[in-house]
Amino acid sequence: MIGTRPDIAFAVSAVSQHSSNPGPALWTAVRRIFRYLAGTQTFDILYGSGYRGGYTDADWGAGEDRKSIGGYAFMMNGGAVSWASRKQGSVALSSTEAEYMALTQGVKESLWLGELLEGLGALKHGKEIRKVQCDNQAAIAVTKNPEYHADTKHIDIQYHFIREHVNSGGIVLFYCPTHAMTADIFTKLLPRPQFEKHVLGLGLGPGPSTETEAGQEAGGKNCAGMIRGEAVC
Amino acid sequence: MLAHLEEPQTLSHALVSEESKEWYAASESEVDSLVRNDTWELALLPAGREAIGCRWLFRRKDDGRYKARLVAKAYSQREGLDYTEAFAPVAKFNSLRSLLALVCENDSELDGMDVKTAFLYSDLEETVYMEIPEGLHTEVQRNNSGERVVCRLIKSIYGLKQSPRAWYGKRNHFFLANGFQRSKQDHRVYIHKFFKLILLLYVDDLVITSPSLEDVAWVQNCLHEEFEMTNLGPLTGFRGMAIKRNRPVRTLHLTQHKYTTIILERHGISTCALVSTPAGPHTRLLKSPITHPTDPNILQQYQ
Repeated sequence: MIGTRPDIAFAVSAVSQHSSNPGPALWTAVRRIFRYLAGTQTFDILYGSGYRGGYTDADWGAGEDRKSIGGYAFMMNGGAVSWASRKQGSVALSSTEAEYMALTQGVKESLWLGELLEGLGALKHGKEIRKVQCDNQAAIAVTKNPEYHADTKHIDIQYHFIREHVNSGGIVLFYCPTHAMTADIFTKLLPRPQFEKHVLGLGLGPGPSTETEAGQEAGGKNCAGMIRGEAVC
Repeated sequence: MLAHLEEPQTLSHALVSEESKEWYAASESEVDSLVRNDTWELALLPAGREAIGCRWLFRRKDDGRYKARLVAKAYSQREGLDYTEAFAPVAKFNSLRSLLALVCENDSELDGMDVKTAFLYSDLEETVYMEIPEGLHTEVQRNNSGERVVCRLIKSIYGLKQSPRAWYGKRNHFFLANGFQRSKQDHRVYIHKFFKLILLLYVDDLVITSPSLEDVAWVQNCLHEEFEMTNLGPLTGFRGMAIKRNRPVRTLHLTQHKYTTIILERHGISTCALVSTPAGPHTRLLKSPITHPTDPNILQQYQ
């Protein structure tokens, strides 16, 4: 389901970590994903108009081994084009550090997408995809504050990497409050209202039924009253 | 309807099955294609070399076509002898989705093309010997002095480890020679220097986008001169994903509805007891203290 379903990315990555020793609890979790898919079979990503740019988020120390989970999503014209949900490689000592590591992954993807789009002749889009939102003020402040001294080398290098791109104007960071942080869906299990809100934020929703042509933009709204793909910040 | 029938595993099974006529025609068309492209020549197997195996694959396509394909058994290939380099890039889904988002915004043309027997067109660098395929066994399995007669491959064939790479190299050369530039970010995306054309390749599938129908026709003609290809018209799907466009309002839907349904059916998931999130908010998966052996048959399906 890697092609069109970012909504299950976190759940799939969580169960995949146990695939080498699957127990009954794992099968229950996998069945739960299937039951969710069964109710959302027609979901598709809708590209049309809407937000262009990225979101990154992290959940500090969420893994069983206390490693943090990081995630990002990049949107083009209201639909997600690139996303990831990954357990971070090393243990973060603070939530800022975890957000920072997630931001590094996001910035790398953002640079790649920006260059790809510029290569395709879409200069405006290439610039917009380099706007990245993050819900941690401290992590954003750190990129602008030359006083910051990291204690560990891996953070130090990531710090210099992001700072270089922020200073040169290649990457623009924005603060985004947590309730509007679409990438939250890649870092933890969310209760239904937030989950549905972020699903819409990714441009996902029930597709046009087979009888009506794609012309009928059926059901773009859900209980949260949001139109999918709209910018939430 | 015969759709519930299993597809045959060997040629002999295919030819005694209920659909023997269809399978025969399909395998004959494959042999035709192999022969027309001078895929191999008969040769004596030199001492110290082994011939790799091959088998027939039979597939019923969604549109009712019957397809037979001869594939090499790559697991019997030995590195350094039967192959050297095997890496071939495929387009990233991220690039495909970015391209689709651009296409719908600009209301560009989006066409698909498909290569008939993709791998037959690339020359093989290594000398590979393959057994004579089932169904083509001739009287001369051995010559007078008892040496084995085998196929020496000239062109790459499906299943060989180096086939995707040889095919990639061949097409890369073709596109560069025709004025395309390869994207530095994704080596399977090509942009034309003068025409407004963007191509995206995934093994034997090709996506063409351009604001102008004439430019699409131009590249299609170029390709037809060099490769045996089919125009699929406006792209409706790619690698199991369905694409639905509404050009007047410039929107594009990308879905895996059908694939999801197949997966759910395979695992016997009913559509009652639905849930609205893929996991409960307080679920915690912990490492199991006991080992749970995996059914080797299921394991094989996913490897």
